[in-house]
Amino acid sequence: MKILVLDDEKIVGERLKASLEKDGHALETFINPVAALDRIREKAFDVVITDIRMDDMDGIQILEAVRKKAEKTKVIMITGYATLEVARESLTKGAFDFIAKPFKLKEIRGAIQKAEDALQAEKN
Amino acid sequence: MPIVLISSSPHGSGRELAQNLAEKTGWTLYSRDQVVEKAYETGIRLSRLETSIIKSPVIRENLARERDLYLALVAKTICETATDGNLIYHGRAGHLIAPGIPGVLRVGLGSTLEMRIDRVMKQLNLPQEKAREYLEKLDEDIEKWIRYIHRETSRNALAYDLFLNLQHMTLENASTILYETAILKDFRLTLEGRNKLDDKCLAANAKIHLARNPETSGMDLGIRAVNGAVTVTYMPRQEVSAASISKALRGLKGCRENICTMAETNILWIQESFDPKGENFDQVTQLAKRWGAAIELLRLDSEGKEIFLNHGLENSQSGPRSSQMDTGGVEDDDIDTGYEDKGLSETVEELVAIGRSAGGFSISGAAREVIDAVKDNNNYSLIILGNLFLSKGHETSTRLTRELGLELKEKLKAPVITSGELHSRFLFGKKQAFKLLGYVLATFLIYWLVFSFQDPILNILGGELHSKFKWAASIGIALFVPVVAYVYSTVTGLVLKIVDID
Repeated sequence: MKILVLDDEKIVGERLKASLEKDGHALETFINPVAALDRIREKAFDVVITDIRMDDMDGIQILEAVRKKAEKTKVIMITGYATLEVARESLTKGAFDFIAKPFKLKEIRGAIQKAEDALQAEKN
Repeated sequence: MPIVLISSSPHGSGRELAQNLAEKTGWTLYSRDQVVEKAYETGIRLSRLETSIIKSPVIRENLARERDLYLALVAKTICETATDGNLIYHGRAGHLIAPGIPGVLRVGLGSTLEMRIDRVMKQLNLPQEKAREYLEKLDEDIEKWIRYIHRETSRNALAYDLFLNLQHMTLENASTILYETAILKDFRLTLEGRNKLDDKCLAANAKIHLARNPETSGMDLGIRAVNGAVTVTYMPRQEVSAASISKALRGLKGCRENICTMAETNILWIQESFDPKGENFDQVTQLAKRWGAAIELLRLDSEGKEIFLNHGLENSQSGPRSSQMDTGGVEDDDIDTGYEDKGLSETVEELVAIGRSAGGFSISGAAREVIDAVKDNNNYSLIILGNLFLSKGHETSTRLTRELGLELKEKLKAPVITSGELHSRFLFGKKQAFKLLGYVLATFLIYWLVFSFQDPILNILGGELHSKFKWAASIGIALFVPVVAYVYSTVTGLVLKIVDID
C-alpha cells in the first residue's frame, strides 16, 4: 500500500514509517501540509494519514482536498486534540477512520488493514 | 450574583445566547471549548474519552479514571472562574456540571433541527443532507456522552431550572428572559452554595493533583472536602501509599488540612469470569452502595498453566501523562501474552465509574492459591463466591466452593456467601416482599388465635386440662415458642432489610 503520513510532529512520521514499512507498505512522511498536498496532487496514494491540528492548515482541509483530488484514497485522521464534534465532522466529510492520540501501533495497523480490504472490495 | 449554566444541542445557539447575556451583564463568560483546552494543557487524555463514544464500547480502555478527571477539571474550572460569583458557562451538558450546588441556574436551549441544519450548512460547508446526517449522528453521540459521563439523560426535565425554546422566540428575547430569571433571589449563590462550591473546587483540585503525582496516580481514591479539610479514603492494600497521599496534598492551595483514612468496608468478590452487565453485578453493587463499601475483584483462572499470575489493575495507565512528547502519541503495542481476563478489567472500569472500585486482580491455580492471595488485614465485611471451578463439574464445583468458603471464613474472620445467596440474604426484592407478606399474616394469625382463645389456652397452661394432661402443656409450649420466634424474627429481619439495617 502507498501511504502518505502528514503530521507536524516529525516523530510521528518517523515512528509510523519505521513500523509500517516492516509490514511491506511504502510510506512518505511530511510535516508541512502544503508540501503534502502538492505530493497528493502528483501521486495517487491508497491511504493518507493526517493530523488534524496543524499550524498552516487543518486536517479537515486536507481531507476535503484529498476527497476532491483522489476519491478512492482512504483518509485516516489522527489527533491528540479530538472532540466528538470534530470526529463526527471528519467522518461525515468522508474520513475513513478517526484515531485519537495516544494510540497503539496495532490500532493504525488495524485501520490500514480495513482500508486495504475496502479498496479491494471496491476493485471487485 | 448568579452562575448560569447553559446547555443546548450542537449548533443550537447556546454560544450566541451566552455571549448575548454576557454583553448585557458584563458577567464572566466561559465555554466548554476552554475547558477542553485546559484539559490538554493539564495533560488529561480527553481525546480518547471523546472518541470512545463513537468507537464503542466505551469502557474497554480504562477510561473511567479519565472521566473522573474530566469532571474534576470542569468543577475546578467553574469554581475558580466564578470567584466573584458571576459566571455564564455554555457547552455540552452544561446544565449538569455543578450537581448539588444550590443557587445555580441550569438552562436548556431548544431549537428546531431545520434551524440547526441551516447553521451547519453555513459553518461546516456541508450540503443539506450531509448536515442533517451530521447533526442526527452527533445528537446520538452526545446523548451517549451524557449517559456515560454524567449518568443522566438530556431529556430529564428536572435537571433544568429554565428551558427556552427558540422556535417562536428571538435570541434577544430569550436572553432577556434568561437575564430576568438569573437576577431572581432564587438564583443567588448563598453562603451555603459558595461554601459547597469552594469545597467542590478543593476536592477537584486534590483529585487532579493526586492524579498528576507519579506516586499516587492510578490509585482509585475517594476524595471529598468539607470546610477546607480534604479527606482521602484509600483501600487497605494501598496502605503503603498513604504517606505519599498526605505528602502530595501538603501545600495544596486552599487545603487547611488533609486526612487520609482507610476504607472500613470492603467486599471481596471471587469468580472465574465477570460481567458488568450481569444480574450478579447489579446485586453486588446495590449492596455496596447500601453499605458504602468498595468492591475488590479476584478472578480465579482455575485452568491457567502458570501457578500464580498476578494481574493488578490498579496501576493501569491513566491520568495526565507527559510521555506523549517522546513518541508523538504513537505508542508501541503491549506484548501479547494471550491472556484473557474474562471481563475483569471491564468490570473494574465500571466499578471505578460508579466509585466503588477497590481494584481487581487475577490468579491462576486452585483454592490454595486463592487463600494465599487474599490478605487478612483488608477488613473485608463480606466475601462473595461466584462461579468457581467450573471445569470440575457441578457437584465437585459446589463442594470445592463450599470448602474454599470455609477456609476463607477461617482466615479472614468475615462472612462468606455464594452469589446465589446474595439476593435472599441481603437484598429485598419481589420474592422477599411476598415472604414478608406471608409471615406478617402468620404473625397476625398467631396473635389473633392467642387473644381469641384465651380460655382454652389458660386451661391447658394452668386449668382443669393442665392437671389432667400436664405433658400436653409442656409439649405445646415447646413447639409453639420456637414457631412464634421464627415467624416473628423473619418479619423483623425483612423489615430491617427494607430500612437498610442488615
